[in-house]
Amino acid sequence: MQKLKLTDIKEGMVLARKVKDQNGRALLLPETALTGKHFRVFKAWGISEAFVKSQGDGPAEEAEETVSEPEGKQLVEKKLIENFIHTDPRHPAIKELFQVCVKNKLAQKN
Amino acid sequence: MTITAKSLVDISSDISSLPTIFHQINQAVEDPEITFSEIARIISGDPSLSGRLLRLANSSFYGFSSRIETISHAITIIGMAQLRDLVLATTVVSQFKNVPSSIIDMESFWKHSVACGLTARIIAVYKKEFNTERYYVLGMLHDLGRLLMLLNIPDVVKDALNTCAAEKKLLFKTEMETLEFDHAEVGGELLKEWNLPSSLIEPVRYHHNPSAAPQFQMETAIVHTADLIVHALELGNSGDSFVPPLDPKAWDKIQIPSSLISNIVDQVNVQFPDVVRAFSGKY
Repeated sequence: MQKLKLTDIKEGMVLARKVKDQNGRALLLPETALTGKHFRVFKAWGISEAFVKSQGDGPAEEAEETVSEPEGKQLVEKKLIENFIHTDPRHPAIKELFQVCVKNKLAQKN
Repeated sequence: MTITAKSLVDISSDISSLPTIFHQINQAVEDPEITFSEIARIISGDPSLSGRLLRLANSSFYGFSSRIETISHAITIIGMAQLRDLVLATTVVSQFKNVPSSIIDMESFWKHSVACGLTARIIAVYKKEFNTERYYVLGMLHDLGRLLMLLNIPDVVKDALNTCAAEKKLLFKTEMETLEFDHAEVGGELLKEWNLPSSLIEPVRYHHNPSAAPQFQMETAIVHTADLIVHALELGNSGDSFVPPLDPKAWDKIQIPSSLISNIVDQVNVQFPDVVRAFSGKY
């Protein structure tokens, strides 16, 4: 198993560990053979590196890879906008829920 | 063979019936001759179940000022029908203890279900709905269809999750595109197989499409909204990475002001760790 930068990861390589976003949601599972669409996942979610299997490796490990980024209001909002992409931001309930979630996230960090 | 929502239930023979204890309690609650102490005796026969019920009864879910030490005491305070609903919410988890965590983490799945249940119940309390415990049950049941999919067609679920991550799509819509049914339909079929009432089947079956619920529109709208709030708060995860869209008609049906969302979230934040603790161990 080796930890590689995104620029060094090639199509056909197989993930050795789960790729998760900062909130712990699994984006890609171990044993996934990487194709073009997986690289779009890396880019879309800001994943800069991942553990991939080396020749002769056994089954993938359960340990997980996460991205670490500084947390501020802007970043919290950016991530929430991503989470809310399938909702109508003009609806008053969604507007309110979004603001409540921003406050909630920031309160959890403090 | 074409896979349908019903066929996924039919091939899952080991979970196509509910645990005996639920049927015993259900029958007992329907029996006008039965006493509280007899029901308490049935529940107490299952120490794991009674332990979880007592932990829940003593949690901020109820917020009682004095401690509840026995199941009979819990029945007198909470009510028999309500306790029957809590038994269903509790026993259903054990039906799915063999689902592996390799694709969707099961601890996270049940946390999402618990959070949805208590959020639905909090909304129902604001709405002054009767027997608000059934809303908690609905939250525990609403995504069960996905567990049947994980058990029977894990590769389809895995591919769907990868597609959703790559294309930022909603999982229930990807399920529909791939299979022509989604986990909500599978859940509805399972609850039918369990002979549960339409008041439970409909909100599960239509939680992503609440306006299509033929009869129990309020219940369905509340579960739909609770699911959305819990996704937004990222409490647990049952597979979807995004907040599902709000059906504006469902929101209008509930008729609560948007400003109340903040109060609902405050209460969820208080109750969630407590209720998760009540289920700790095997969930």
